[in-house]
Amino acid sequence: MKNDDTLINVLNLKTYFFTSEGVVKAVDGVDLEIRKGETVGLAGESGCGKSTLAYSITRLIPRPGRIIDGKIIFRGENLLEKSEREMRSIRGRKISMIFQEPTASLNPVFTAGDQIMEVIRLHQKVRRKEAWERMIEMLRLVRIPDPERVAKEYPFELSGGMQQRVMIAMALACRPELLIADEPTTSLDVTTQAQILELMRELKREINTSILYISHNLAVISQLCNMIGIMYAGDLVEFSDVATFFHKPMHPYTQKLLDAIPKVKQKTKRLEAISGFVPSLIDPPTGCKFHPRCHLAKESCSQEKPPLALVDEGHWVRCWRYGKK
Amino acid sequence: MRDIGSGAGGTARSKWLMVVVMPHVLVEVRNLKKYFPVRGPFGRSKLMVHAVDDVSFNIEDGETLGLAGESGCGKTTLGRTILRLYEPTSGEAYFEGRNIFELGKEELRKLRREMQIIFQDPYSSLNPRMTVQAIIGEPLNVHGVVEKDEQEDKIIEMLKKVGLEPEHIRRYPHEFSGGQRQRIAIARALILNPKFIVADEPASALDVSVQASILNLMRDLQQEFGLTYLFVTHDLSVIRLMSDRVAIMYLGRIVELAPTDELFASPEHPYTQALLSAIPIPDPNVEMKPIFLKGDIPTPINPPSGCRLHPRCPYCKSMCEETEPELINVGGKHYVTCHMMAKK
Repeated sequence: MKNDDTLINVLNLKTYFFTSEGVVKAVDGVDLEIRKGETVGLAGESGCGKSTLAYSITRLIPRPGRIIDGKIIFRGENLLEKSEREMRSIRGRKISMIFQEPTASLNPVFTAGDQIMEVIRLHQKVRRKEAWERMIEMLRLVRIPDPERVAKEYPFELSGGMQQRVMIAMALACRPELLIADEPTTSLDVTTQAQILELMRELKREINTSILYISHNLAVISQLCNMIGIMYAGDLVEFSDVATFFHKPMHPYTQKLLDAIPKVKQKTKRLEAISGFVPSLIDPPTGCKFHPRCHLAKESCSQEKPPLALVDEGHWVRCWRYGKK
Repeated sequence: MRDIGSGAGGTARSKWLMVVVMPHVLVEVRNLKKYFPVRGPFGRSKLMVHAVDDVSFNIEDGETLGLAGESGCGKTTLGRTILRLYEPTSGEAYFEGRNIFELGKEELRKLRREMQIIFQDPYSSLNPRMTVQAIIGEPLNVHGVVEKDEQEDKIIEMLKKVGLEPEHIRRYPHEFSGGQRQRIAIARALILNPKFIVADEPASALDVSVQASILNLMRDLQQEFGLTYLFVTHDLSVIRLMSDRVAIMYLGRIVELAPTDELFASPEHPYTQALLSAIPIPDPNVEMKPIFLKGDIPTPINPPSGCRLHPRCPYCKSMCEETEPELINVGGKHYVTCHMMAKK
């Protein structure tokens, strides 16, 4: 996966958590490329490592977690070789994040406007008045009606949807090149979610920020992203553009996963369930991590981990049915 | 605030009375209200959260009624009040013709054998200090229906029915995955062989692949035991899969009640239309055209006058601000609470 307009390239990233019960291999050798202006969706079930991957990019892995191997090449430089001081000037300016719970991410004792201005003034040498104007401009960008009033309000005075808009304004305040969104609509109601998705679609057209969008909801990703990656037990198992993915998924896990979603547009009698459960990341199955649950598994699948193989133009799958053996 | 039973409730009630006479109605709810008191800023003024505010419907024997709506609409409160886990503010709920709210303690305890609940979070609904045997066996002890020596066999039989193994009987909840825990919760609900189950977001805390197996299991058990479900969830695609009929709630009231296919094919209430249009479709070729309502959901402490949706509704007329619309039949089993429908 190499390209000239690549913004960030994650190579063989391994992030492990060293707990008292054992080593949790949350991200276990993941490659991922995000190009300029592209929106990449990263999906998978809870505990598959999708959030850990995102936090690894910003190097915000809490202890006992550690990035033990790999490279994260951002604009030609390896982020894993940066000092903490250098990372601080990158976070919020070049790479910023929005999180699942806007209530928990906003500081309750500062107004919405103050919190956005803090980001602006931290990274850019501007006067307070200029920062205020830019902050109001950001609130307008995220379609907040009456921004002068909202700027003076505290987070508890705002609804969940408005809070998430403030978070997005804060994240985009320095015009970052990469925005990492970790389940930004999961805690919202479906109608509020639709509004935030609409906003993100419009922002995508207006500003040229690349987005890494993490969600367990495949429908949301299909509506917002250009590319999609599916993770399972710390591995990236499939990566492709969304149109190909939703019409021709190739990994047995992703095929089953798509069948397991209840469809609102059609009458279904029964869902396809995946037998068994997500394996422990401390002691994952040998070989292909999905083999104990796979209906197509052969004996060889348990022996060696399949490579992420290019099966079609821009379509990568980690499965022995497609990889050479 | 209206007086109980006066005004708009009157004509609607006579309609519901007619339905009662029909056979096969297992649960019937009439003009149910549940308010929760909240303290004002200085602990003086007594405000009320109108969680469920004048709701009437019935559930037929063997069907699944889906109850959907956004957070804070009162769907969970409604489910719990019907089982009298909350004491109602006013209204009636009948189970096979007996008013649940008028039963004495002992009668209610007996009736609980027939009505059970499955909660959303299998991590907090199972006591971590009890074994699976104790958890599933507890209802049997409370009701004294099975002799001690037969208990274990009965529990093992139930474990097999919900897809668990006999050897799981001596284990504790922490040894199970989320999906398996929900199976234990289902086994506990079914051990007394009830007729009616309130399922409050039973699969919402689970991942999609596990959610699918739990929903399939609930389907199978419904057929095997002839169960009637009140299926409460915010996830409309799950509602589509599981329910025969759907009730949509908004701010404590039912705004639309219809057979599932009909509701999804032709939603009539402006709120239902907006809600359905907001569901993301897992297909990049389908372009979503969500209908956005103005503003946010108002607080249930002081809900809007007239139609609850009127401040946000694109079709709002002066009448909507003043009078509360009734549940109107728009053909077949399709009911809508909207003044626009009355004119048609």
